[in-house]
Amino acid sequence: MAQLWTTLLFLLTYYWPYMAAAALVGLVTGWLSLSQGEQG
Amino acid sequence: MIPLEHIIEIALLILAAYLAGCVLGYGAHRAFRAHLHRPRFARAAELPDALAAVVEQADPPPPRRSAARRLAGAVEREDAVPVPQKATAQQRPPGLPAPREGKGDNLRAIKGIGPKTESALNDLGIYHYDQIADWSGAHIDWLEGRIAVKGRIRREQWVEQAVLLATATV
Repeated sequence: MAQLWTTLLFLLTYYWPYMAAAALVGLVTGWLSLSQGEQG
Repeated sequence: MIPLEHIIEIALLILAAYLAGCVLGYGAHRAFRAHLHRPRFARAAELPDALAAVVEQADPPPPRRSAARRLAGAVEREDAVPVPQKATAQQRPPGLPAPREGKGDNLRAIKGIGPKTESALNDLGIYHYDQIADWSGAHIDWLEGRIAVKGRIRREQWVEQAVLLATATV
């Protein structure tokens, strides 16, 4: 278990920009999905 | 070279971040729209009945009274002192001789107003949303029975709808 957390921490440290980018894309997708739902 | 297990974990983390962003964006948009479409209390403050209707909607009373009386908006609470019906408090809403700038608003945009009711309102000199938005309880009492079934104006919230439409068209 400790190794898993260590690995996750390592990945978060080095790859956080990619995750931030993915979160941003998700944010835009979630925002637009509500607009499309209201139009339909 | 990145190990395979790291690639899988990175993919999962990115997917989790994407999904979290989706949920966050959806929630933020909903909150934003709710904020935009909130009732205009500043305007409704000028209309005591409109404000009461909004408050009643936010905190609906328990179904103690008959449905007809509640729909008529007569009484909110059972423990409240019964208010005598104001037969003399009726007042004709002020009308205009003609629509401003020669063109009235589309009153049928208000849910509950059809072509017949719109024509009746026009006959009374009511052409614009802001006129309906300015109706008081006495005006509504006067109108009910003349152009609409008793309680319908309050139940369908014409005044609140008109406030929103009037502010949207400004």
